[in-house]
Amino acid sequence: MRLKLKVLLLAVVPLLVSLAAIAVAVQVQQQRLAERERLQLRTAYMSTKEVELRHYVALALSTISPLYNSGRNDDDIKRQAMQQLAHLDYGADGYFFLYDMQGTNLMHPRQPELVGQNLVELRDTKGDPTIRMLLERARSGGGFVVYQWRKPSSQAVAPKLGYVTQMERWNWMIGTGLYLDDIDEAMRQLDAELEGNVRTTMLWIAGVGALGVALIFACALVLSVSEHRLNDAKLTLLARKVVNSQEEERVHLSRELHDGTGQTLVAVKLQIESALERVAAGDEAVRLPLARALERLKGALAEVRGMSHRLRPVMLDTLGLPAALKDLGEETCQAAGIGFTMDVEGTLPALPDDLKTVLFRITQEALANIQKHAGASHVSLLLAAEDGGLRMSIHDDGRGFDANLVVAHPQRGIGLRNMRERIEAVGGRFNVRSQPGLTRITAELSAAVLRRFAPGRNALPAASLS
Amino acid sequence: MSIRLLLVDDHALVRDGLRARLAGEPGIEVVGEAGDAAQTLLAVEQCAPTLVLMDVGMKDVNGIDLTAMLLQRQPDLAVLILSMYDSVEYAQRALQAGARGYVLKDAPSAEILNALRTVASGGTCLSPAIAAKLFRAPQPRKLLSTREHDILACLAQGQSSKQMARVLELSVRTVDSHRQNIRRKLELDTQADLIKYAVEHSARRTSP
Repeated sequence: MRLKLKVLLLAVVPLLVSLAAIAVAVQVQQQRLAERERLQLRTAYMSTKEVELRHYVALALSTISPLYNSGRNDDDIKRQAMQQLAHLDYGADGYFFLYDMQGTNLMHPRQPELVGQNLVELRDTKGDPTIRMLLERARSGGGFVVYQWRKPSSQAVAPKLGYVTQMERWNWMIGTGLYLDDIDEAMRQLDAELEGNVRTTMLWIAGVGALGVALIFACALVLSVSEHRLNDAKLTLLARKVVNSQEEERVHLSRELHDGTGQTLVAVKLQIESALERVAAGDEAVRLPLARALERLKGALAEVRGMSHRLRPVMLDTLGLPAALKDLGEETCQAAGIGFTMDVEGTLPALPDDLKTVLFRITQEALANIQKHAGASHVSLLLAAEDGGLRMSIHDDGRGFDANLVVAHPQRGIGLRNMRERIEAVGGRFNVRSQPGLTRITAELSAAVLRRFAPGRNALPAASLS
Repeated sequence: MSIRLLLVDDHALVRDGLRARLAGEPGIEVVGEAGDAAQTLLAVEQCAPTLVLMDVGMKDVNGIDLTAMLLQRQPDLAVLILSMYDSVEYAQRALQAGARGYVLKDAPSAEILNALRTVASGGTCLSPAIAAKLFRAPQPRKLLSTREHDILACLAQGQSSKQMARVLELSVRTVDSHRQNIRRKLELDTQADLIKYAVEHSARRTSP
């Protein structure tokens, strides 16, 4: 699990880190690009405005040049020039203004209230002395100044690019200007566009990141699921191997006891009996210990036989499953005072040792359960051939139980779980149904399972008779 | 006429023990020994025994099958099974195969000798331990099959044929025919008698 976490981290963290780095780089690049574009836009905009303004002023000057160049400097001719200029405009916000070189407003077509006021000390919303800057620029041969002024069309203060020049002879400063708020609007649009681009790019990166992480997790999930499945299969195989080796051991021990020890005891018993035959009738000193030895031997033989039988009845191999089950059922039920019947339906298929053992053990467990808990008066066992497979069911008429509750019960469930695990380990099916008066345990082996266990495959060593 | 005996057992020790025990017995002559099926068939040809003392659990062919084989060749041969298995199943199979007796190896040798003489003289003989099991009183309910027992148990619960069919995974027709069979076997005239019987013989009556 920890290793899996590490691998997962190794995949996810670099992905996220590199995506984050890409995002930062894109952001920085976009910002630089934006600044450059902004600068370019501003420069281009300003230069067109400047050219425009220069043209307007030149136009104005040429309009009044007949008056200015008439050689007259009287107030009358100046008034005529002022009137001409006042009427000269281009759009709502395009007008000309006149100041004398001391800063007194001589003409302002949009703000007539300013005429006659000296505005040298006027400061705009940014605190700059507007008129003083204009005058300075006019004196130095004319040029551009950026300042804040009220825009006539909107009545709001906006940045304005002003162009002024001096009319030396009349001591005038003529100027006009263009409001720059539309460039700010253009800039804002540009910014919004760029920001939109950045956002789209970021969304793409985030999407790619999410997809990558999802892919990694999906792969991890698939891997772990298949790993789990593999582990499950391994566990089942292991369980089967454990059961198999346990059974093998039992078979071996059972045979060893039955054939080895048992037969030796029989041979010794026969020898002692023949010795006893030959002892003179009156020789009690020899006869008595021999007779006692014989008694002990019989006890030992019975013990050995019992042990062998409990380990694994040899009958399972010699007479087959039905005989062994019948013997088991009759013996167990008779001891417990329970009736027992057994039926065989159809011709049973030949069973490999593994499966015989499984069914035998299930029956053992079931009978033990019935004996302990059921309070049954009758047990019946049915072996039925079905579609090439085999079904074994054990019924009792005891008090029954809640199958779900018992399975969940840590101790009482063990017997049922053992049975289920045994049959499922070989690919069979297990079923329990219980109600008061009828409890039925069914173990089924399909034809496919029987084929899979065909002799020579996975089977216990073929049992020999002895 | 003395008994010509062939000992068949895959344990040499046991054969030795038997020989030792039978050595002094009048009227019994051990004419041969065999440890497996092939040796047995050969010995029967060569030694012409009148009685075969046959073990059951042997490596290649078990004693019961071997008995059947021998008797197919010589139907008049007397075979006495000498077995470690004290189970009725074995005794029944042995007798079905044609053996004339079944004695246990751990029985007193006097019993084995007695069986030998009985079988040789044309009789049959079973170890008392086996005979007791074999002739145990037949079970009173053996009459009914497993299915019929289930039906009876369900009847005792007051279930209908339909309910039984569902519980037992059978068709209603099958359930009904089982009910018919039970009535016939138990000689119960009406359905009411059948239900009465089922209730009276149900386990719950006796269980706490």
